[in-house]
Amino acid sequence: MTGGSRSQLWVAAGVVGFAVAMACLLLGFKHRAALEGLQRARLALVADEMRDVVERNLGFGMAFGEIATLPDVLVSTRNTEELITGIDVVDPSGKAIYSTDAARRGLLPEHPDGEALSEAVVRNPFGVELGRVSVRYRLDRLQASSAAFAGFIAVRGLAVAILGTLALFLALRAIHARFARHSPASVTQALGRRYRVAALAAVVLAVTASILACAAIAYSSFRDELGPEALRKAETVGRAVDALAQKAMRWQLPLEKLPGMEDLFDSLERQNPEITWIALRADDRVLVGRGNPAHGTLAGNHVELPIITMADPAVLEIAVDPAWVARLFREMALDLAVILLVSLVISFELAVYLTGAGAFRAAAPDPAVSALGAMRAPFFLFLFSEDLSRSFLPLFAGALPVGPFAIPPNLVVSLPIALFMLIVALSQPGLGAWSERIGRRRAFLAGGIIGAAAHLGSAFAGSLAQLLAIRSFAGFAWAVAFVAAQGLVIDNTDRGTRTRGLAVFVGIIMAASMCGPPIGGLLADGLGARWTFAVAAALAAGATLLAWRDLPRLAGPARAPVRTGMSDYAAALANPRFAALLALAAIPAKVIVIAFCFYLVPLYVAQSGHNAAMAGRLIMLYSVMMVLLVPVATEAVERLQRRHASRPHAAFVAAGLALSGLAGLLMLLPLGLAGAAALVLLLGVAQALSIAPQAALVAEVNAGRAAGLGESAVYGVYRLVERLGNAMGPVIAAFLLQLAGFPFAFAAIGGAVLACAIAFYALFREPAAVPVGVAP
Amino acid sequence: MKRRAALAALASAAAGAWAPRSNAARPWRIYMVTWRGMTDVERGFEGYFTQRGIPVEYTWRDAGQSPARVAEFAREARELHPDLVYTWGTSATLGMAGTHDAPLPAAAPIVFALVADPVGSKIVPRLAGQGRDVTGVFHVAPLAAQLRAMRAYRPFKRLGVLYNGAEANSVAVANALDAELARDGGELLRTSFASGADGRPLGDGIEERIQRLHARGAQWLYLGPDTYLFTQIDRVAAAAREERLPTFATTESLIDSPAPVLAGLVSRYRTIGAFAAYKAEQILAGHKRARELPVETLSRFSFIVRVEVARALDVLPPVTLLNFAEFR
Repeated sequence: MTGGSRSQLWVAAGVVGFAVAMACLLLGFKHRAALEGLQRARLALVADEMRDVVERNLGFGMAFGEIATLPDVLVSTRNTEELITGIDVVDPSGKAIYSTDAARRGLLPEHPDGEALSEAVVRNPFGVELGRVSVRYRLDRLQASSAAFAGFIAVRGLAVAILGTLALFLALRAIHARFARHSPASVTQALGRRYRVAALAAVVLAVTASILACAAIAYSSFRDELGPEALRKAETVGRAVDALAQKAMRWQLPLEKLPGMEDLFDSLERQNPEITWIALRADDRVLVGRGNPAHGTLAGNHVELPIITMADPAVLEIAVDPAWVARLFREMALDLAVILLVSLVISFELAVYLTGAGAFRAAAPDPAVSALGAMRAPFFLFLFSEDLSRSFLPLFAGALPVGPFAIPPNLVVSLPIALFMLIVALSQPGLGAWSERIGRRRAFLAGGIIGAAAHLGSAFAGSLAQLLAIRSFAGFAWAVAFVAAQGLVIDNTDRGTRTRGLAVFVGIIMAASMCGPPIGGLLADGLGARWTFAVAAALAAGATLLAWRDLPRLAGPARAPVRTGMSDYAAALANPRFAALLALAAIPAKVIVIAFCFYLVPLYVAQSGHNAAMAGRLIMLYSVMMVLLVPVATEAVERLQRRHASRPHAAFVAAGLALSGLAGLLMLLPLGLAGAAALVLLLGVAQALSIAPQAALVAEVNAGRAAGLGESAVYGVYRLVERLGNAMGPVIAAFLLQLAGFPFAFAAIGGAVLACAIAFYALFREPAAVPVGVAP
Repeated sequence: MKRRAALAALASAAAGAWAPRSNAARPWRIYMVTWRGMTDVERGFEGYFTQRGIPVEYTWRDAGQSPARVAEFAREARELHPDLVYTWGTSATLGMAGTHDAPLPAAAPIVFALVADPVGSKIVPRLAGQGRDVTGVFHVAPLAAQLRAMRAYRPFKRLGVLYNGAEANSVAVANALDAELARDGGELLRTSFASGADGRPLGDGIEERIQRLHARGAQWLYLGPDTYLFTQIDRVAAAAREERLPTFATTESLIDSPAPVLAGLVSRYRTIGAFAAYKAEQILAGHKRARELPVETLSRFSFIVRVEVARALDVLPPVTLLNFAEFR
């Protein structure tokens, strides 16, 4: 096997393996979540019903401990549900007052593993908690069926992965043979556009086919297991209706003539989305029915309960949507598409890694090019590991005990992000010189080790204070690795190649920020936040190992270190146009991105009842827009500049800011999640418009001023101030959220940024007396 | 929600820290003043202490609806130095405590029950942070909850009310209803009882008034916490049944009367008494000051439907009402 074909095999295995593993993880999570949800909802109905019984008795003036009929009701209820192991009614201290198990009465009951609780709080008529109804139910069936499914999908997933890998490998080889017949065997050479398109198409096809194969394999298993479970839940819903029928009977009220039957059935169908037909029938005549009557006639998807009414004996018929499982899969389509997208990015990174550095380290002719190539994979992995937690960090922080601090909850949630950003901002200026002194390689290794340790620590964080301490280390590690990688680019490029080198650098950052949040969200839903942090730690450790193996040991070419001192800040800020650029454009742009994407959107998504994967996907939209549009916007600026001999930079910056602001105002409309998606999308477009022109303006407004103040010092000031804006974002958002809720927080920040955009445009519309055409 | 959390904390504290005092301890002494004899409220009050095993010694005085006798009780209470004074109803409470701007010298912290409108009758300036050692329980469900209950039974646009125009409390309730209904596009049709030359209400023309309300489109007849209405409830309810106009009661005494009232959202007198006792317990055993305890009403009321009346009027209750209403 040649080196080329070996690397093709690795690419194929890596990308198909990743896609299949993520798809199987997602399917396993959905399987468990769907089963769990059905069981939980069913047992919650039971707990609520028991609570109502207790409260009704209290309403009649009975004391909590003296409801003579309750033990019988508890026992008969337990016997109707095969999952229930027992029902306790406990007082506020947890002591059992009533229990289906006489031995538990008067004790603080213990709950064995493998049992879950569904609880309902019992209150007296003046709102004092008297105790809880606690329904214990067995989890063994759920666990067994989850484990069985995990085994089922793992074996078949492995087979799919092997087949997919082989197919992709053969396809890549064939493509290579066809397009590279006249090229050297190594794929390091550019093989032209058609080759790349064909290879990309092969990867897309193989990954899509593998993911679809996994979904198709899982489908029958979902249908076989979820169907009966949904019917069992339908039966419990039916029993609640039966209880109403019995009450009506007791008062000799004709059930079918009571008003509100349709409303009752409608509300049951709303609360139980899998139920699509409920009807009261007598002699095959539908007395009252709501939903889709066709579902009632299908075999195997409905339950029938005899109901005693005033007139004839009747039957209550409840049907489950036959397409319900298909609906679950349609809801997963987005997740699967994200897996496909991320797989593509990863396949690209893998291909570059395998062909650029690593495997062909020795073969690479130019040490500078090889150093840049060697930086790529570890840097991507490191950033990816940090980005994994984007979608769930606010929620994770919010769930930790706060300890003795009286901090409003929304602020608590914002602190880890704010602190991370602050540490990044403050540590960067000093780190440049430091990493130059000790060498980029050692600096990056230090960052990787601290980062891995910080992620691992986050997995074990027991309180908010601990998490904050650990996240500040993560921030420091991020800054160290970032500066080291940036230093590698600067060391190994010259004036001619620097722009391209930095573009690659930014590309890696964008790719990681595109892949990290959605994959982190999927992992968090499937494995939990703590395990996702552990995965992040493993990835950061992997990044460190790769760096240790691949990064050049040689120090970069010596250059005079550029230091930015306090006097430089003062000198730079003394330029009013520069100060205005920072205050009206640079800071607002960062505040709004971090406040929205890192803080408000994840919380908003969670509050609307969606999972971390959904938050991750939304955040990803921002990076996708940036990746797609930054080059387009940059080209447009250049074209306009050439055609009209004018500098449209200020207009682009103002337009980007204004669009960001409008995105925030959009949240005033009652659009829900669609609004949030539109907001992130617009924000991505807006920032893509302004990010490059804004950086160019920094040089422009400082040109010809502040003698002795170098361009790099000015950029140092610019970056620092910008990053302070990053740190301010979540805190400002938290404050506004605490003050008046989501729409207000979004709109207030959006409105303020819009105002900044207007002020900025007014100030910068006419370029100051500067020489035209100064390239940054 | 905050209140609920606080109550829950208190309840759990009650389970631990406020363990019933041992039998050797001196029982708490409570001086009780009622307005027209012992009611279920007192039975609920005493029952609460019995259930929790807290020894209490009661001194019960009944005013027989005479303000002069309440004044005597106030003097007596100051001599007896009880641990706590309990009062029933607005008149007895005002007689023992005075208004907040003209308070009477206090014999002990006062816990009242069954005052329909403690702020309107100036017993306290506001429900929480009342600034005097008087607290208690009022018994009328919030208007919004009453309207919700009526709508749950039978949606309506127009609500009729028959009230005593000479009773400040009744007028205030009618005004509040008007405002509450206007908020969501409903309409209140008001009619007051006939009044004599001295301004006192008369029972003349009750039937015609109800007929007129019905003719103007009233879909429910609202029976407020009105003292005069209570004395005329038989005629009012009979006239409404004649008109097939559903009636909605706001106090237990109205829905419990033999008169054919259809439904009501009411507090049970027993529960009101137990809630007052819960507040008394926090003062006696929990070492709280009465001013620290807000004046409250129940958080859950009894929705009562009388099936016979529903059948007679041919307005059967909707099926979901079987879930939470009490049928009788």
